[in-house]
Amino acid sequence: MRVARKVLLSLLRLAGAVVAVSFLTFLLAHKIPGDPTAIILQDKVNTMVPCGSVLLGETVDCGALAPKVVHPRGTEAPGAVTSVCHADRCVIASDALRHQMGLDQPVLTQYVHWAGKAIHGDFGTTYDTQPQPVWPQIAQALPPTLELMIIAMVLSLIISIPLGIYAAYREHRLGDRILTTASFLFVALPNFVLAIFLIIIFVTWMGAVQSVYVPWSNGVGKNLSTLAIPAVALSLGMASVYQRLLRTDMIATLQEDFILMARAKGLPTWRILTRHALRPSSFSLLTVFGINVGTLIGGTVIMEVMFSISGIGKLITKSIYVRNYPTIQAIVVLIAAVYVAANVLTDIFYSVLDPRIRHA
Amino acid sequence: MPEISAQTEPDPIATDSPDADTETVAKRKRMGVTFWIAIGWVALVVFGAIFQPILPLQSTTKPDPCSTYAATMANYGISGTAAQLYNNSQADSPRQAQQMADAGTKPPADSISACPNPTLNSKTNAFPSAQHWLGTDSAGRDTFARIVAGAKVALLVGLVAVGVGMILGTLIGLIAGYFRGAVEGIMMTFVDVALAFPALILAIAIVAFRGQSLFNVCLAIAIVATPGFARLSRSSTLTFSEREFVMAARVMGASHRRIIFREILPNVALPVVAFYLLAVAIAIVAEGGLAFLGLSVPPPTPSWGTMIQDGYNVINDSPFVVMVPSMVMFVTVLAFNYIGDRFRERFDVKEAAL
Repeated sequence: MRVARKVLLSLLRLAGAVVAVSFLTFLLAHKIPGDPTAIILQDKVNTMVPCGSVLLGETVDCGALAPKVVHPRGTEAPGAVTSVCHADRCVIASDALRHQMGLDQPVLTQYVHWAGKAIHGDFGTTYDTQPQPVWPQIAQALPPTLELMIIAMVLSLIISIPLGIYAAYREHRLGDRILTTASFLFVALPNFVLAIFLIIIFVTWMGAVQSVYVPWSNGVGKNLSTLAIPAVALSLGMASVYQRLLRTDMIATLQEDFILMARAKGLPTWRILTRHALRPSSFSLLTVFGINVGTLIGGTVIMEVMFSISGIGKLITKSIYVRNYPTIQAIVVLIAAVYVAANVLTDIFYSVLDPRIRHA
Repeated sequence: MPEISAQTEPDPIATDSPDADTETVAKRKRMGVTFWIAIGWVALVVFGAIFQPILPLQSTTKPDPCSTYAATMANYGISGTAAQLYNNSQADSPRQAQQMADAGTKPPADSISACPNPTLNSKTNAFPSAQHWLGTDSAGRDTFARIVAGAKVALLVGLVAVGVGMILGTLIGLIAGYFRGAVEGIMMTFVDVALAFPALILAIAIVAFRGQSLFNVCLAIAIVATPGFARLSRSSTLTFSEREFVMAARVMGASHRRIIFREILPNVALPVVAFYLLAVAIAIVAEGGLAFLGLSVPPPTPSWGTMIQDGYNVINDSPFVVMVPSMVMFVTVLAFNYIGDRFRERFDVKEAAL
């Protein structure tokens, strides 16, 4: 009963957080300088409207060329169309389109409209001369990202659990001290710096693996070997945190009476460690494992850009580069939803797994 | 990227020491050589960042006059004449050089050979030499000068932006934890919503939507850092506001402001400062992450993140170029982590002794 109530409450919190996050993202996107209709109209304006105006000392000739505008931020981007061409005609065109796209509505109305569609998986279309639906782009980018994240998660557990058990068992001995120092170093090592070191060693010097991503379709072996460096770079930092947590909890568990009992019964050491001590020592590890999903998403974005993996991270950077706000918005909301869901799931899982919390 | 929110929960770094039982307080009071090395490194970075404008350093934007221009300029799509203009320091950027060359400004004939004796040490992607202490980057610019200039960005993003986040977050936490009730409910809802974003994604969203500038990078870091501090300071405020000395102050008729700032804040400050040091390290890494996504400080301002990202493009030919800023960032992060850890240990001892 308690668990069900807790789950329900968590789900409510999850829904609330996702709504809040998506609204905030919507507001942020709404406040951007530059007019989305300008980007869409750019092509038409270019062919229809004669223009030629001076911007920051540069004369722009709108013959066959696209009107080049010096964007307020200093980068060249298709931006304020109205300042490039004859004012009245452009403004009228923009307003018509703005109305058609619903951009002349209040933010809240726009948000409700957007959210209503987003629930059904329709994240709108890109602001482009040839608008494309957003969702297929994301669906296409998901598999590589998920693959990398899952490999990194599994790898971090495979590394940290044995080392954590070992360090607790050999507390204060040489092995434990070496592991403690190493984990301190790896916690501080940013994952992209670690990736750079690994690339220099394994790609530049040894030529052992390729550093450019190969998709599944080109062979599973190749695919996995190109994911090796980013996965290791992502997992070592997490693994050292998990190793520390497991070690600390395990040292406490090993002092318990039931361990003494097991030892007195003459059970082999490895069996005591893995069967008796591991489960009650793994709760803080699991909590942080759940929280770390967010950290992992951030790290994955960077790895994807470094290793040209065509996943979500690559998609969001590409969208940022071309100012494709609907896509950025959809991805940010999606990531936030996954992150909140992971936190809530950890919460639920934790209380299900630990009888002390369930009955508290 | 390590996540700020992850640090406020059961803390992976703080939960480390069962040594606390075995070691004596006297032994733990000694900070050790490593600690002072870490302090020394941070001091060096701060010194470099503050005095960078008056230090006799080489230019952070202009390439070494002897670096192989043909290759560099070809990357910019610039012809020989523009390259010479740039070479002779008549143009501040390759772009301007191109514009000047297009406009017909030709370099004076006698200044074409600004570098009469090109040596191997002065080319692009060079190894360290007496002239360039840490070599040059792919555009032939002095790496040492850029590292020192990058320290300024690192400290602005780290110390200053996180500092703003710390002050804001601590204020929120103090008020929420002291007054409880509806105030706490409203404030903590906001904090929870902010924590619902993965930190790097929130920073990406802020910089992407607001535009790429040093101010926006700092703003993003400050916003991302705030909720973590709010949570931390609220939880310590909760424990301290029940203590006898707060009760005593209240009975003596002290105002809320006095109780919060004179009674509670000094106690909350210690864990907050320990967390601050760790958050600075995280922020420096976050800047690097943003740089990889092309969202850090716009060029020509050098930052460690953009230097790493620049060097990454030539990692196969000249791994040394990317190694230097990577190592500097790593050592700085390590130093802040170490100092933060030590600080926290000291604090725990104090807590236990109460």
